[in-house]
Amino acid sequence: MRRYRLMKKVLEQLGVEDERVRLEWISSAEGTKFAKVMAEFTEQVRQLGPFKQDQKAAAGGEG
Amino acid sequence: MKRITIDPITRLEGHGRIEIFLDDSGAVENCYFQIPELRGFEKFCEGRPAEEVPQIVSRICGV
Amino acid sequence: MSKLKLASYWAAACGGCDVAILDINEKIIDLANVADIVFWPLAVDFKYADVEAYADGYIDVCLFHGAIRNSEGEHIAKLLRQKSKVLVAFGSCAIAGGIPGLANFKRRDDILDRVYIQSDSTQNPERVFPVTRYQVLEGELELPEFYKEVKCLADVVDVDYFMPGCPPTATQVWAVIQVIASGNLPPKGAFVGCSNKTMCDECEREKTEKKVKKFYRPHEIMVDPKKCLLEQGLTCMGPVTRAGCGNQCTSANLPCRGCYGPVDGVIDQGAKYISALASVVDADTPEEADRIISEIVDPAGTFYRYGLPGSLLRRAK
Repeated sequence: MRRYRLMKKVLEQLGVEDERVRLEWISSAEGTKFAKVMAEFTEQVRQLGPFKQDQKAAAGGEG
Repeated sequence: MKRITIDPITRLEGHGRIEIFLDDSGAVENCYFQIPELRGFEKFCEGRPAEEVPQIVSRICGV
Repeated sequence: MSKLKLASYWAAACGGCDVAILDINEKIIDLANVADIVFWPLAVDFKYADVEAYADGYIDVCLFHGAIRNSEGEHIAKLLRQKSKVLVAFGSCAIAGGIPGLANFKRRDDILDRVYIQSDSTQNPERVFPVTRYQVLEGELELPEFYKEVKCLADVVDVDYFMPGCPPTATQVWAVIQVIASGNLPPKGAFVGCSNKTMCDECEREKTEKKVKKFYRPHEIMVDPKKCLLEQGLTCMGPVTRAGCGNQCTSANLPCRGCYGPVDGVIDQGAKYISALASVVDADTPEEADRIISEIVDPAGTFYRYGLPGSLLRRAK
């Protein structure tokens, strides 16, 4: 959890949009939830399209 | 017209090139000094914490 | 044995690596006994044309400093690769981009605009920018192309050895020169002039349990000179940085900034540090973790201080 939060902060500076990273807890018994989350997330990333070089620099690494 | 290129200029920090053009009698007609290098400290220091800047800008010139 | 032919070159560098070679002081005379310098812009007056005239493989060892920032850097890197039997990426810039690599946080055009338009010491109302070709009365002048991104040496040519440091220390430089002179070369791709332990392994500061409730900036804290800097809340990169520098920064109460890069087997120093640093955060609730983590200023610029172009996400394409 702490790693995830720190990583998000770094990724933001690197220009990776918030919506590209997601953390979910899914147990092995929750097959339906797994499928739902994966489908949802895949669609979300597809909407964003490929990671653009320019976009990443737009963040500018301003801390 | 004769052209003399001094590339690179040496025994200093940084990159430089000198282009000298001579007229038909061998006298210098014109001379150009070029700096084929840019790193952009002015820009990439933006966003860095002030206390870190001395360590960063000491890498402008290490000679 | 005939004398070695040695070359040293800087691309996007500061010259500190060249000076690190000179820092071997009077041993430079011993160096002159085993090697002839055939190209070294800092110290001797050979030109690019001289290098072009050498036969392929004429240079025995080339120490290449600096990142690849423009087309000239790439061109000379390729030229020196062709002319050298052994090519060493010397210093943080050549290995992973180094300080000039921080430019990969910015856009090319923004850098040019800041430098040639906005900077306080510049008057440029006509908005003149450098161009690669420029016609003057007497002929055409050329300048290298300023690349979109900073690259590492290994991105443009095949590299034999890597010698980390910003700059590598003089003792390590001398040790490596002796190895080269002995002809007992390590396997290709090896990191030389350093250890494969981490800074922490060599650091003599007192270490107890790493639990951090608050991260400090250096001016916010009186540093205890005996205790581990990370435990005191400074973002010291010792846990993820290769040893070999002699712990210069930490012995001056400054946190390590990772110039020696990661140890073997770690592909992304910054990512490794995210993991290491997050694990010392001592929070009981997610909110507290958020607060502690939010006190870390400029994490990306700190964790990738010397290695942004070598990182997974900012590697030049």
